[in-house]
Amino acid sequence: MTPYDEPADDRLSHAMEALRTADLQRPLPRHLERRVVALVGALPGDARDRAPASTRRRAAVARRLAWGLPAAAALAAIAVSAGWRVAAPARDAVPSMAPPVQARLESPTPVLVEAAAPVVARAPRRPRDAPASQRQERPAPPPVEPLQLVRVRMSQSDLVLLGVPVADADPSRRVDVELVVGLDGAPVGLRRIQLVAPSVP
Amino acid sequence: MREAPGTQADGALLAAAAAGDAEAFAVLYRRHAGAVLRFARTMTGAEDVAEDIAHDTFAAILAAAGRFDASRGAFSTYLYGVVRNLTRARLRRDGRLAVLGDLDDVAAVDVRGTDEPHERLARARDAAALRLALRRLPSRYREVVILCDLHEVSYEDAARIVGASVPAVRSRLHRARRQLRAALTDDVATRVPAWTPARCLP
Repeated sequence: MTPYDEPADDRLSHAMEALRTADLQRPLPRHLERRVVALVGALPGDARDRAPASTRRRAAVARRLAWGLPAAAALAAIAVSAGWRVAAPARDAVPSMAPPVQARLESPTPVLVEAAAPVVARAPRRPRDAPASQRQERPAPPPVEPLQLVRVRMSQSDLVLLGVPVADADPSRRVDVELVVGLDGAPVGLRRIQLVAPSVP
Repeated sequence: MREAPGTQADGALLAAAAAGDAEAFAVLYRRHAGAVLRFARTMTGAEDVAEDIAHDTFAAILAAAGRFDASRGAFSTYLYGVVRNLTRARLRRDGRLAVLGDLDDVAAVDVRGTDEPHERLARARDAAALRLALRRLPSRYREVVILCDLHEVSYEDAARIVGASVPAVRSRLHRARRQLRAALTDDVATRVPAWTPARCLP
């Protein structure tokens, strides 16, 4: 009997046989067969769809690295150069005691200057984000005419003639009204209405 | 005259499938899908994970159809190698996840062929207990038990599949069987969860 010999008839053998029988009697899933056979229908040469998930993941990582590494290198180079420019002394900075503009003005070379176009006054621009209703032109104000203020005492119920209807107006009650009258004598507006005290005749 | 796909060798079927013959690939699938599914199901303990692995296995052999060399071994050995690698990768990836084993209870084990109900129940309990004990084995032990004891693969082929020597396979198998035997005789360790409803409605 070798060290690897096993007892022939034990519970493990029975359990193995039972598990083997149970597994063999399981039917194959039909949906899996459809999925697997559909792999053949993939486009020829399109091996990504046929490859297992682990291969697809590796391919995706490789694609990202292929694009990401040069981009990261370019960004790093830009960042390094920008940092170097910030850290380096400003070589192009103009010293305060030697303005280069004056030196250019003192140059003896004549400069031909073209005549400038006449400046045309332009109306201030409307804001671009203004709504359409505000972008419309406003109507011109009416011409100013001399007006006259007229004070009258009238019945409260007559206010309706001036376009001021009063609910439950009492004809016996009086009101003082300041009318704005135009040149033609027609009232343009009401300035003030005040109820007269009953004791006042 | 063209040979019918059902009588062709596996290598010829794979080559035809790589050339776009869906019928040849369907024959190849029906011929080997049972073994692939059983291996993945017993290794992972989950039906849906096993189906995913089986799909990826057939996708891999179709994508790398030119890689199979019939002179180096049988197609089934090549296929077992692919499914074994994909299963181990899946187990590594999902190592921290707890599989909600739908195969661990007795109700999921369908044992037919016996007339006596109590015999059927006893065999179902044994199968469920063995499945539970297999889940507790290390994967390097579990795979040799599945290959040699459940799928009846020879030691040489099993050694080629797992990438080990034949003595190593025999050693792993011996240790695995010892652990399984101990687990099956230990009532606490192999307690099969009895089917009980979670809540009884009045």
